[in-house]
Amino acid sequence: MIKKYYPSIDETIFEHQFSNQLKLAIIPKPGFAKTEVNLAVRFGSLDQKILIKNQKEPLEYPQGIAHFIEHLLFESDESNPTQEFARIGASVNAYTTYDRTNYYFSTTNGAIEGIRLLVDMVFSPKFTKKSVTKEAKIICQEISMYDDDYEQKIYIDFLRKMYENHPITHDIAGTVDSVTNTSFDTIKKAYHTFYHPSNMVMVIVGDVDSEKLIAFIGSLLDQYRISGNEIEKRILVEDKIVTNADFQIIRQEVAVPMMMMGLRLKLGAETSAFDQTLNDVKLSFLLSGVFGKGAKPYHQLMKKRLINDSFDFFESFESSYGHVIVFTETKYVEETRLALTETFEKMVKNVPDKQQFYLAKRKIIGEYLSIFNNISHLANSFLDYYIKGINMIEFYESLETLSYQDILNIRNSINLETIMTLVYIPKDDK
Amino acid sequence: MMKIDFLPTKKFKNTLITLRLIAPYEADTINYRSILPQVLASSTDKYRNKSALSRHLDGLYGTQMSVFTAKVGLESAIHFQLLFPSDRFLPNQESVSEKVVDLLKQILFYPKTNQGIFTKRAVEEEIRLLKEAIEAEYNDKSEYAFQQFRKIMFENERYSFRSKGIYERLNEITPESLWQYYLNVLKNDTLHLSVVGDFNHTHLERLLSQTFNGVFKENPHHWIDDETKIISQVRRIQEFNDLKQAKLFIGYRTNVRFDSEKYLSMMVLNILLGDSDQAKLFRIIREEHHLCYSIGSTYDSNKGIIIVSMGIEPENENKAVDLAVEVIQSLKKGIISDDELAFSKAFQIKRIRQRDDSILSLSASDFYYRKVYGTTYDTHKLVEMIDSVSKEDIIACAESLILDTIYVLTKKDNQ
Repeated sequence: MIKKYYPSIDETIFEHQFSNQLKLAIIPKPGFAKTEVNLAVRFGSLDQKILIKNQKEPLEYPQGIAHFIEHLLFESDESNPTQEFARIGASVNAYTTYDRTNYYFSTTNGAIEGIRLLVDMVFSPKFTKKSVTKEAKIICQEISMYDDDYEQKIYIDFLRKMYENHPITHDIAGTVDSVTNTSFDTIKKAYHTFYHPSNMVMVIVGDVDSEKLIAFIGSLLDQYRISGNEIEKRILVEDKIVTNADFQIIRQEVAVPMMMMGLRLKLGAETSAFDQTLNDVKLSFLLSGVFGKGAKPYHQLMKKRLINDSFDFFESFESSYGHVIVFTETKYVEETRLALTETFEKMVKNVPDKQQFYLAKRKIIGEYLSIFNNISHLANSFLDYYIKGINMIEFYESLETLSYQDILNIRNSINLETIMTLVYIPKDDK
Repeated sequence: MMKIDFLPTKKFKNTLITLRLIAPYEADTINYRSILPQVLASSTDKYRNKSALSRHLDGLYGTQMSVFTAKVGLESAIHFQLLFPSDRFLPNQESVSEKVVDLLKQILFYPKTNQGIFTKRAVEEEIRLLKEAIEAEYNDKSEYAFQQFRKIMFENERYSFRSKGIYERLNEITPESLWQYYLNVLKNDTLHLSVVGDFNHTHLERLLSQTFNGVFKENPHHWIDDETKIISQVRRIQEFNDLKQAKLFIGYRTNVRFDSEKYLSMMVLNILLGDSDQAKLFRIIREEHHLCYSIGSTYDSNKGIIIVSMGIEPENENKAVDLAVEVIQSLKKGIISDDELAFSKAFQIKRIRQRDDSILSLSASDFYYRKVYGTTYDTHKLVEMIDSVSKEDIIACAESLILDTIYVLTKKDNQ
């Protein structure tokens, strides 16, 4: 067990790795009512191809399988896990993202009983063939729920323009076909492969006795026999660059045109997860100097009435994919497209605003402090880093050394040739 | 000294200052009360435009300013909220609080003007942004369906308006009329100030009092929305749109409101009905009949309504409505197991305890209890009261529920 105090923010973190290789971090928050426990598996929608140890050919999985398993772990013929949690005044839930499945519960009573239930739910699945058929139906409903959500839809459509052959273009839940055709046996095997403690992390935040919890979880884990980890490596390669899809309009049942514009990043081949994440922050600084609320180009776009409060921008800088996306509703599609394209070009060709850089550095201190105000926010943020093997506090503390030169350099990762735009316009629009 | 609500706590690394301006919620002033704070917060004499203000906030270690107008009972409360890092965590223990109070002062009393009134550009810009936000609601089918439902169920009530604003009347606002309304606010609104978090009490009290003392007056308020109607017949409305999943809303009325001693029982009932993963609606309609993915219910304790909402396959509409109505009937008959009651109470207790973990909800609860009940917000007392809710209390609450409107936004027949 490692215990470390961080005076700058007056917080302590406990870390431990159990004999079965599961890693745990605890952030005690005395005085808070809620405790949240997260158990995350490195198994997300991007994990569709994998090489098993001692095998030559990689294994492929149907789309949506990680999310399917997430649903199934809540299924049991003998008991109802959700109800078991409710009985002790806790609520349990889960979600699947590109890179993980996270199971979590929160409670305002003690955490011990909940941890027992959570560990049992994740390490000892009870779903049957019958539950596979039943959940497939519910997941298909879930998939069609997002069909009416145009913000979600334009995002997925846009990713499909940006990438040709990368699992990021697949819906996390899969398709109605892929879900309906996923067999019980395939699911069992995938569970066995991915749900290995060495492939998981646990994060606990709340008013807890950390040392006692670590001992308890250790004794709990001893009850589950685990065989060796069979994953040799994940196969996920960067997609080739798409340059021929610059502008597309689709008619939809919308009242105001929705525009998404973005570009691909040039990924660095080598970097560690820490440097990768640092690049993401550098890029976000560069972007906020242009698209942030205090930035001059943003202000100009507003002044010309090309964008409104729906305007948003975000970046992803991962090892197998990377892009920048801006979104806005706009009444002037062509003018906005030209203005945003020009803004992107200037962002790369001109020198970034130095004052904005210093302000961004101050701003991120406040954002960082706010994370600690909310148990779930803290648990989730910490997990985001921890699952990549990064200590969030040490990461933020390292940001102090970010320099203006870093922001100048990060411009090289922008691939201007890949700029593309997708617009949803109202059906009756000329 | 003026009265300011202070709630010191070391739990958070931030401090939250909230300034509220309160006046009756009326159709004629909704738009003014929605646009005014946005114009005030867009530019001041000192910070000439939004980007200058935004830079100033970034410089104050990312101080977050949120400005909005909320309906509280039959009152309209304009909010200016500033959330900033507490001094002890800043490099060199720099003090941000003084600068935040000064910013609040600049925003409220020193707006950017042209010939003595708001600038045309600032006013028109805020009207444009609000209009475009309302227009875009149609892009989100669930939100659009809910707004349609609301207009129908609350036809002649103030609850039918969005506190964001009434679209059709936004063009009535001019820089002159908004300026007149601003003067009226300064003269007639009730001012309320609260501070929650980790701060220097004496210092902040002095600063705030110096800035705001004696400026506003205190009026009597109507904190509960008790406008209602006689229901002679259930309204059932279908509207058609191009969508895959139908959006269904079922609205019930009750006379159990926040000022009733039964309101905590009603909260427990709502959890039992549709507001938890153990809720009857969730178990029966989603888990047993597989009719939907999303389903839930909400209880607005201020208005006295319960709204059941679902996303369903269009062909399942009648079945889903029948099942939901049946569930409410079963509550009236007392078909509630001990387990169900225990879960629901535990859920509500958890929710109330959790409120104290968020600086924003702690501040909102504190305001609400002090104003509506004239007491302080006491979590322990509330937990005890929920613990003592009985099955009979739930039945009594269920009996007060009257079905009012069923609305569905669904697929066109021929599709």
